[in-house]
Amino acid sequence: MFLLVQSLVRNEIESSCKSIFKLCQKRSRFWCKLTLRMDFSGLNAILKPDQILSGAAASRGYDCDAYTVDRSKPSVIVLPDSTAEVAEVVKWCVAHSVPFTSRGAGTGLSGGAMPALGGVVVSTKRMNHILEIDIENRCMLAQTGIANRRLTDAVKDQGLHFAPDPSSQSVSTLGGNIGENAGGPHTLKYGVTVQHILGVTMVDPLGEVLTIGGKVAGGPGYDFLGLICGSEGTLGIVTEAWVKLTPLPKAISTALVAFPTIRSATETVAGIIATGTIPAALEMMDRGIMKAVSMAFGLTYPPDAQALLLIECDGEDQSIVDHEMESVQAVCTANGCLEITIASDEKERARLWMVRKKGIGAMGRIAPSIVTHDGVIPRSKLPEMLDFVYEVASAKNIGVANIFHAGDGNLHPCFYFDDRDPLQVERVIEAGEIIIKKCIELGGSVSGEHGIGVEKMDLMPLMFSPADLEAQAMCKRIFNDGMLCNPCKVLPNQRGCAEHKMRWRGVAT
Amino acid sequence: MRVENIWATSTYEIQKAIQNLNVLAVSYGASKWAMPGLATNICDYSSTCSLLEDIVPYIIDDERRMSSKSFYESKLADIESNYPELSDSNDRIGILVSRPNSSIIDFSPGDQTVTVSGGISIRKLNKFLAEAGQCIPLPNYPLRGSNRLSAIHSLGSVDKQIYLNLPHNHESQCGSWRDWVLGMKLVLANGELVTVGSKVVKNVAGFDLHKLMIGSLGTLAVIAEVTLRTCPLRNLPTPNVQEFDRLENTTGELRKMYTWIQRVPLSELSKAIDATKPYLREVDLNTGTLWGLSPIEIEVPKWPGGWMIRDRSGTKNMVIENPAQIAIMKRTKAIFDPTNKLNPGVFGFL
Repeated sequence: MFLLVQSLVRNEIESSCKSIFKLCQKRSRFWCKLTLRMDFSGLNAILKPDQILSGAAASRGYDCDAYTVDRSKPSVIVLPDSTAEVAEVVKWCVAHSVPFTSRGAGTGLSGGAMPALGGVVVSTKRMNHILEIDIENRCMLAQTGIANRRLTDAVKDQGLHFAPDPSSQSVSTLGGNIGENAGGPHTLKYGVTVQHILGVTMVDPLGEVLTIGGKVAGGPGYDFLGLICGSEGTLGIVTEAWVKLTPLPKAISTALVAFPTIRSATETVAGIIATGTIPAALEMMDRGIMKAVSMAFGLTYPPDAQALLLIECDGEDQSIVDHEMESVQAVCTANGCLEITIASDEKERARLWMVRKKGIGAMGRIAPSIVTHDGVIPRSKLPEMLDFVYEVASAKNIGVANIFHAGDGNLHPCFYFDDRDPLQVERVIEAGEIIIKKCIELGGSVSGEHGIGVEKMDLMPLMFSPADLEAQAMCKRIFNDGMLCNPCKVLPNQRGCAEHKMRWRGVAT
Repeated sequence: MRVENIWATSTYEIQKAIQNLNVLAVSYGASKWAMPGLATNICDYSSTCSLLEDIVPYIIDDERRMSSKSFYESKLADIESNYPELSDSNDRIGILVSRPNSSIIDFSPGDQTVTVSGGISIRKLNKFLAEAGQCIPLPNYPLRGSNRLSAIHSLGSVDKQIYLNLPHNHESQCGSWRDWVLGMKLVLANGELVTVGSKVVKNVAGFDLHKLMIGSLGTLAVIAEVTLRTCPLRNLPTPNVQEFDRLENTTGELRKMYTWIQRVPLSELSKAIDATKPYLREVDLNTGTLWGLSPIEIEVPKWPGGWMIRDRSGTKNMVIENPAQIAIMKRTKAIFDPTNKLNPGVFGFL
């Protein structure tokens, strides 16, 4: 009798657990469908019809950025023309409890522009104008939807440029660069984006317009610009920014050096920095990239070369630059390089840079898909880390090519594979995690350039303790105390995000 | 009320002090940049002491003369014995001296990064880095001299320099603290020790709380350790500076003058120089920064389009004009230090 009661009770508990579970699943699907079925016609009062996109095709087009592993459809995409329109849209979203996510060109590599909980995507594509160029004070005011390259193009003939030059610079927007604190090959000497931002106009998560900073750098008070740059769109939507313009170097010298082994190349990197020279760019490519670029563009390298170093020195004075390049060459020769090619003119310089700029794109010749990971380690640990990357790749049976900013210790291992095979996809993701864990172990960081987004959210606890993450959450709360502005990014364990992870991955529940 | 001197020899001491005190005065910079607001807030906090107004800034700022622990203790003993009415309140106030906490924790010459305790002096750090051919590229001002401006930079420890974030003459080519600080260990107002940033030169993991500490005047958290990026010693630029007559030589009344620093857009620089010429001491032509000394009764005009900071001027020290910035600063302070424990009153409105 007692046993019968026990089993009945157990069955009862089991079945009620199952129904609660189903209810939770239904609730999360229900929550998403709620926003999908919501009435967004209120936006028509704020924006013109051609500024609002909706429907299945539009949602599909904006469900992810260049990080395609996680996707989430928005309900509506808006393209405001001005800060005032952005503010109105945000206020509407707040009034109706609709999440919103800002998006520039969508070239981000960590899922920062993915609308994690659906809702509205605020695209800055139409806010791409330069508002003021002040040559005498070497600054420029631009809307943040403008492509990075266009900032430089506007002032190139005055001998100035916008220094941060990520590989995506021809399309990625200033807003995205600010959000991710973008780097690029020239950050070794010129610094990352935050060092070139003098002021921003931002719409905060409640729809208020704030102006922080201006034409003149510094000033009393807390450095909020340092916090906003790199905040990945979670503190508000930056709509305009004052950027610092840097004089174009008068003298540049570029060299492409081939090495017989990876180790000789990494040791050269250390040697160059040890001489006290800071080259403007110090990039490294390995055999895989060389192969891809030869297949794509017909460029040739010595057959026994295992690594290439692209070194660029610049400065005001040609003789100083030549002197620097001589000391660089001395280090290369001391480490047993095979061949040094120095560009004699601008055209040849562009040709030498091709292996770096087009390297990743050229990988398409070798395999249908690639995933470019992003990790950073102290420069001195470069040889050890590279050996580890090759080991991981062979253990997981996937090809890898390495292209990265050797001067900063910022790695970009590119795993190439066929994404039609889900097992390969899984192995690539696992390999990425193993590499990131090793980066942290060697004293580095979880991300050097691409940001945390959704990709590395769950890896944050490997680098930061719960108290550290709580301190970062306090930073976020200064501007964003709610769940509406670009939710489920950067910090793990945010309310209401865990149940959506399966949905982003496309694993149906 | 109890006023103690916290001679912080380690991070643990800082944590203990913060946890046990109602108010912690965190020293930032030499030469009277501390506002009497600090003392006034302590006074309001504990109800009756216009007397502390004179003493607390003196103790915080005159560290140069406070080389011995016993000097501090005697000063504090004076307060307690001379003002018995203060002993009634329950306030526990501490004055943090971070200088004893001055070790070099980690140095990697190949990576050009160095991790130090907050209290280490710039001078000691640069002497250490010079052996490896590296430095923190602050200009090397003479230690003593009648140029009071030099005193501001030469006497600082790393944490004070970060809290105060003054301009310097190498800024246009070498950047400043925002470019050099890579990561920190902070002691928050509730006593917790957190790590922010990283130890590598390129990092975008999470929110950059260490950047928020720059220029914070010690109001958000105490810097226990900081990781900095170093520069090669041989590439230090020559400052592009124009000097003017020493006003203090003509008037001779050094003590009754305040230091002011302005930064203006370069296009306005010559006009700003003309407007402030009688009180101008030095101009950095690359960044448009003007430094000067002026008698206390004279109001040096602030040139529009830039910013200005002063010392010895009470609530006019760090004037923040942007109301949005004031609002966000208040929110930040409320989040990080809800009981207003760290340096109350230094910005006037915080």
